[in-house]
Amino acid sequence: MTPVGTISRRELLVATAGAALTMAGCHRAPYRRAEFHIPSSSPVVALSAPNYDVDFGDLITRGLRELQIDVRGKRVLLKPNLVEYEPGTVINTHPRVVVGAVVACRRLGAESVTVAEGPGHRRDLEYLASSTGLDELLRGEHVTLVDLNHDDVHRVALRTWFTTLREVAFPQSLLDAEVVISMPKLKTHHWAGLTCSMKNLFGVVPGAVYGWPKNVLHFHGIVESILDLNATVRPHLAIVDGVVGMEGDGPIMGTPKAAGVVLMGADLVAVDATAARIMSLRPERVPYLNEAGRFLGNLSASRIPMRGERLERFVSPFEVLPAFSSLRV
Amino acid sequence: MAVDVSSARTQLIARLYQQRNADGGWPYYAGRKSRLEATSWALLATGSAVTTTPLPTWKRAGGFLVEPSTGEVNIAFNALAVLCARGAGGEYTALFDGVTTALIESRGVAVAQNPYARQDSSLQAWSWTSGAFSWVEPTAWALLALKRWAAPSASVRVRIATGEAVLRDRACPGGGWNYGNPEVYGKALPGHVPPTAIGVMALQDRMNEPRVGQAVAFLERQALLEGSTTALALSLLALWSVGRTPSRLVDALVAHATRSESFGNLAAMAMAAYALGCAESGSPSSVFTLAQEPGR
Repeated sequence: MTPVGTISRRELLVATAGAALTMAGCHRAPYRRAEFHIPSSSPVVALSAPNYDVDFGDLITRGLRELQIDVRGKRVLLKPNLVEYEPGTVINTHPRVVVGAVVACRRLGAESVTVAEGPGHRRDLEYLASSTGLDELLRGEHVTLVDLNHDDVHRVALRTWFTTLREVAFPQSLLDAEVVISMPKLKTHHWAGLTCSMKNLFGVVPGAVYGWPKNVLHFHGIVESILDLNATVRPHLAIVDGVVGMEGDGPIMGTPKAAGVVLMGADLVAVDATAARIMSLRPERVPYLNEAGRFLGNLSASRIPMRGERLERFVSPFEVLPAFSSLRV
Repeated sequence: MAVDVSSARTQLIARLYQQRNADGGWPYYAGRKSRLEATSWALLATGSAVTTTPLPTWKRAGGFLVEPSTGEVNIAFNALAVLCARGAGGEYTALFDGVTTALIESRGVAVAQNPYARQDSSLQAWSWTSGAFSWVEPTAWALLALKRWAAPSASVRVRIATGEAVLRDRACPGGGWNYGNPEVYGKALPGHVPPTAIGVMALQDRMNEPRVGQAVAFLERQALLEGSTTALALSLLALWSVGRTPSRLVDALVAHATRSESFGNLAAMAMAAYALGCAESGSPSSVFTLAQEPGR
């Protein structure tokens, strides 16, 4: 939501993203530069998954090994994207992909694996987990589903100051995890252009503290909130469900778009930039990615070596709303 | 199989007592810290006295109770606490009178009209947290709390009128409410059962309005389909408040709440236990049902 005035939310979003860029580029950056280091190279793995009958345990194990992600003896928290449920739609990270990640992390020696989400629209996790089938699959694997909206919280100072929040009450389960894995759905987004592993962190902000639909983040700016949350939480890995994504009026009302891919990487900026390229969008024109590429991770394809399959085989233009046509390649 | 409402309620109440915190409050999930929403529902469900909970010791900010474990004021749950604590007994009336006064003075901020969302963003009802925009659930709880407990005055009438306007404005085209966006980019968004139930309770004295009738029809159509403990319990309370007798929902709640134990969510269990208590006594909730002449 925008403050009172005459500009639209979209205009404000673009304007505030521009303001953030100005802050970072011409004036003092809203963070301590010494605290952030962009790696020289951020490999991303693209694995073929033409449908949801694939053995995702095997697939994700392969990706973890390729990226040399070490989860041995660690408490792992998987954060899928679980927002809404409408029969026949593709809003959420598919439960089979989530369970595949559980299997893979256990196979590679994780001490514990928890699935955790704080849905941004519906506060009724019981309904969402049951209706999507996630609950049934997780029970089959004896995995705990943590309700981040209603978890205990601990206030944490933000590591960047793109918003004026300064600190956020984060769920204790998130803070207790040694490895945090963002597991988004590959979707367009009617306010942010695209939503992937970085925007997925909106779900760790507890609704029982800040309300639904996580309005405090919209109020402080979607772009700015994405940056502050990611700079502070610093997830260790992203696993993107791009088997069937969403195009058009995402993240809820769009239409299914098959891409047949699972993307994985430890640099979430690089993963989201790669996701954008798959969707035939220019990552440097997505405001949150453009800014994140300055301090948080790699945006340039030249610094994102692809592993697994060739990226070109998955590239397929996603329809975007007219307001985001400038993102198109 | 005969539905045993009494046994189901007893089972849920026992679980609530088992998982009550040492400070006398209730967490959302066992072993966690006491929270305002869970404690409010559990007060009602168990009939516990407010004095046995930590609520009277919590700090206040602008008249609202501050949750110690979060350091924040949640306006929606403060309104719920007024309803539950005052409904549970007459103790600490001054404490909850203070919250009621804070509700009268609180208002969400106005924001610029978003050309892509069909809603009147200039209306200032109630937000989840101070300094934020108005949404359905905090508006509905605050509206019901004021209708139920605020002494009639011009300022209360204005706040009630604004709250009702927001609920009318945010009603989904297909009936009911979601969190508060009825239509975005020209597409109607669907209603959700829990906020619809709370909205119906808040507008139960406006049954002659088409949107309220549509919301009731939405609940009657959707409650069993959503079927969670929260959806069923809130729907029962809402439908009773407008004179319906949804016996199928009672059967479903008994079966569901005892089987699923609501994912361990104690607030949901407490809602269910309270709703089943009403079903057992055969009378609608006096807490969430307005008298013929609401206090305005």
